[in-house]
Amino acid sequence: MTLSALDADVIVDQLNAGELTATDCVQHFLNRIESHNPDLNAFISVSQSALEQAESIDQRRKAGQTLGCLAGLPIAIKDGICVAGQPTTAGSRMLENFTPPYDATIVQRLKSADAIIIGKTNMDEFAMGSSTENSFFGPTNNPWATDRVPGGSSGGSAACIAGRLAPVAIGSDTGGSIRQPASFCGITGLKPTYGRVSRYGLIAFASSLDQIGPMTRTAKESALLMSVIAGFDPRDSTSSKEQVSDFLTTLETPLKGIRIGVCRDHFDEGLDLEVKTKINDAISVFKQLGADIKEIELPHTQSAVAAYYVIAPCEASSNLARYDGVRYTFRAQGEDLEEMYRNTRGQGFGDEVKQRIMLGTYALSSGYYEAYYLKASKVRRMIKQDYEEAFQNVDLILGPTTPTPAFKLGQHTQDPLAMYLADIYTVSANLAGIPAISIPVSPSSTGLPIGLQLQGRAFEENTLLRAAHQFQNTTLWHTTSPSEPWRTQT
Amino acid sequence: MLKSSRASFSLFLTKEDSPHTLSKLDPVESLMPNTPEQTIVNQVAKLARIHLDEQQAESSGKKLEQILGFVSQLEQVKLPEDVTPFFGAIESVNAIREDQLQTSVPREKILDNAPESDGEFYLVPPVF
Amino acid sequence: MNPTSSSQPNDRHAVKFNDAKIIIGLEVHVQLDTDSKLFCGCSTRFGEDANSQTCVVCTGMPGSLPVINQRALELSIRAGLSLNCQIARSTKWDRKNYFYPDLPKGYQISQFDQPICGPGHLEIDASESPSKSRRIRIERAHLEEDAGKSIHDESSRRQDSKIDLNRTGTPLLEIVTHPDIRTAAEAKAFLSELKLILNYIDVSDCNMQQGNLRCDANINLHIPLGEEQIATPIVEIKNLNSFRAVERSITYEAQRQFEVWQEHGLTIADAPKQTRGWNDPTQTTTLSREKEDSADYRYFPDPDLIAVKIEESKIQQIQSQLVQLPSELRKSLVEQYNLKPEDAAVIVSQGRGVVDYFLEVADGCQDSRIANNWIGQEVLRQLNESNQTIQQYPVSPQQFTELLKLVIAGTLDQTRGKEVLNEMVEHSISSQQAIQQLGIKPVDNNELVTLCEKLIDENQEVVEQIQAGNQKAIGMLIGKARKINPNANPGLIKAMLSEMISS
Repeated sequence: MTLSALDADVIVDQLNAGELTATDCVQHFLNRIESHNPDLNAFISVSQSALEQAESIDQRRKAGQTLGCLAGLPIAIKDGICVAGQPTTAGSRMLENFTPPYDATIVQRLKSADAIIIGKTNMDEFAMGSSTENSFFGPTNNPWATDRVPGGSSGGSAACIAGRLAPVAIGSDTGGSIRQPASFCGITGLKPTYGRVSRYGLIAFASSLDQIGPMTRTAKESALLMSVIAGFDPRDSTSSKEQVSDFLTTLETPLKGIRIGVCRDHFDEGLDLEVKTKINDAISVFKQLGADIKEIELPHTQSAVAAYYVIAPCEASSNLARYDGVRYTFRAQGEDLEEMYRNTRGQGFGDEVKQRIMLGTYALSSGYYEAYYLKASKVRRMIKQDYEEAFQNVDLILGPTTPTPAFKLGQHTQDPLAMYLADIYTVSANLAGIPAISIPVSPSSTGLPIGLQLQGRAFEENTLLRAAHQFQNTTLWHTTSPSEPWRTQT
Repeated sequence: MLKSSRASFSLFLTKEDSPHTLSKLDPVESLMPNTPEQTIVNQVAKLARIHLDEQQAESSGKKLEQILGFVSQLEQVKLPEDVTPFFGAIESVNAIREDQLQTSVPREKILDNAPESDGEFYLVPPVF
Repeated sequence: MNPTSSSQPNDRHAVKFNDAKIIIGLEVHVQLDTDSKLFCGCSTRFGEDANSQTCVVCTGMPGSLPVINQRALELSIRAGLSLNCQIARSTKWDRKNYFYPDLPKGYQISQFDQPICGPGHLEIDASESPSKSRRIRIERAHLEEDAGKSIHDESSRRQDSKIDLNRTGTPLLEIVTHPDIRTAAEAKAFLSELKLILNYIDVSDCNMQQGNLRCDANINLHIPLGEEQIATPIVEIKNLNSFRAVERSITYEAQRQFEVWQEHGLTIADAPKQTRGWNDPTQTTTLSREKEDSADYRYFPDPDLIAVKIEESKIQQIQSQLVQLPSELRKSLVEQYNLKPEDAAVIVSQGRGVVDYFLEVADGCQDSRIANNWIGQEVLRQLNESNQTIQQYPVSPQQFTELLKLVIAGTLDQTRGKEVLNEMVEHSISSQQAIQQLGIKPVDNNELVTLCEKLIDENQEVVEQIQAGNQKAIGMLIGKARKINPNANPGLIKAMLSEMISS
């Protein structure tokens, strides 16, 4: 078996057992990046010091020193997360030359676990998008068919896992930005409960919705990463002090008797028929595993996309005000301060980012706050309550992650609404703050991956991971990789 | 004064107007020879400090109107009278720190990312 | 903006300025005395090298997040309680969005609709009022972060502006009054009392030179015109950084508004609120250059911070630790120590340290009037001359008490007492040591008799003057006596001489 085919937990075992050196492991994936990244454009930058770190870990291991639980494991990080001394662009021209002087909390935690950051992955600019086409550094291609998008905004992280350019990756999810690309690329992606993982060092898009999470091939790998990155952070006021569950030990607890809710509204209009069939097939698998399937209702989730496209742009318009040409790298010249501001922000931001800043600015401006932001926040309360009621009767909620498989590059770039509807099943979890995971099911007839979403109660990631893991114990969809050379057309 | 600012004059529409149409304008603001959509886009762009050329303003205006039309469905959502807005996804309280000094970041490191500085200050074009 | 007022210009010109009522409300920004900033661990120290006290949080570095400083909350509650404010049980944070180069995030974290302190009030001294005091209502007080400092090139060369972010994120309490203030003097009295209170309770040093207390004044006039009351447009005078500037700008602005009204007749309904600045060199207010959209701050709840719940027990704990406020101390100095109100005010205005010093000395020597005379005059003068605080004063209250006991007992007269005090201050020694160094000894009666006889013998012409009725001439003899023996008590000498001469 080649290194590319190994699961991260197996790689870690082999490293620990001395059957594999960190240097060989990192070198293998660096080689993969070198030869395949030109086709995918999954990475914005590759770490110059990864090999050096690997050598140091090998030496420490040889010297018998105690190492972290991910010692020597290469990991790819979305480029919206700060790594000290390494370029961090958030996919924007605005931060093209930005080098943060500090590590995000999750980066610190991964470094303490002796994981090796191998590179920073491509993304929609400031995480605004569902296709990674809004990157200043060019779009990422889907390894299952390179004429298709990998989803977004964490498209680079999803594509590099599907294309095996890295064993595991980190993404961030504001309205589906981990789960939707995971679905399009046939991998596993977990958006944790809001507050479960520190946001410190994550370049903000919409602060009340953003959450960092793992993007991996298997649920077990996600559990492994969660055990490192989850937990309270005194530097993030919104991080939770709730006890962190042991994600790995509960994976094998049988599903017998687990109650899974299905919201039939989410199987109606707009859902691709093939996706519907495959999701229904997956429901049968869960039944076989002993799950009790129940119908539930989430009436206000119908307004979720509308609420999301008010709240997220409002927060973004404020979060992105700091990019004004004074402190962070990009500045366009101007005769006076005002002109410098307008030119910097006119040229430094891409079209979609400007569009959302304008929308948020409008919606927060004098006289509109009540009609937009306040109303949307009240709808958000209703969505949260819908979930709380549903979770009285079920343990998990199951449905499709996205209404269609990956679409073609350029297909929706001129139609913002069509693009926004790619988030229709994912935004509710962000609005309610609950955890959700996307896992691959049987692909489409054209060989494109299809994702299934499980949503759970707040702080019950272990239940999501357990259900996903046992689904993956009985299916093989998560183990399939696109055959090389990758298809260029579908 | 804080309280007066939100209630102050509206840049775009009066409160009674439907919030999702872009057709009505404050008469003082509508003297520019543009379409109403463009005028509003230009006003928002100004408030957001974003330069748009004419073509960008036009396409941006169309998209803005399209999205506002879409989110206007929120108006139809019936809510219980006493519903409290949910602004953040965590409802715990009191994340606080002790009043303790921590080492600041060295100036050269902080100014390293500045587009223009003299080694001591950030430099910006004259304000007026 | 047409002058739509119904009044005729002639009516307006008949009105006198003194008939107009001046309506003033203040917004006071006070820097809280914390070690670290409101949302990060950088120091709040003044006067350090530019941009040497910043970090990823206070420079708004992408990805950084704020965490609230607990002490800033406690100091705000303490200030609120001292100003009779209701303290919020739940308070939250909002973003005030505007662009300025010394505002790194493009928004200021502030409090919009749930300020930490609600309505309160402050009594100020107002000698013209029958009750001698006036109550100024406080609308609210909220916490917010300060911006940085911009240094603009004022020359015609239009060079780049320089930005220093050291001050960015320093905690400020913004205290907003109702428009209850009626004169420039009242505005000054309010600020003086506020400053004194915040000093007493260790919330802020209120150093105005360092910008730790800054004031904006909202002002307009209510002018009686026939049956009507005309209100002039409201003007906000920004960034007043001395009491003098507050007083003078209000006086100037009231007069200016009156003249503008007489000329144009514009009322509050005709013009929006205007922002003006105080120009110290010309002693005038001038219209501020403002961005047209500056009023649209797009406030919304800050999603990076969570609500703060304040328990009743916490408020009670802070309340129980509150020291006596200036007004209470003034009252107790008058009622329990028999000081005149104006003397009590002088002592209290010097700060808590001087009050404590006074109380210890007054209690020790059992004569509060003498204690007041000596502390109110000698000690304050010496502190002022040496630019020292009472904590630095070399004479301890115990030593001072010993000195005053000697004066009260008549062992030392006033003049000698002051000599002793100067000696104590100069050499940091006790009164006993000073007396020794100055060679002060008690003089026995026989010695005095001999001295007086000698004086009468040697100064017959003076004795004759006294006998002729010129009682003042006796002073000359006393002076001569003191030259011969500085320890001779002038009172005793006088009595003895009078008796000898008259017999």
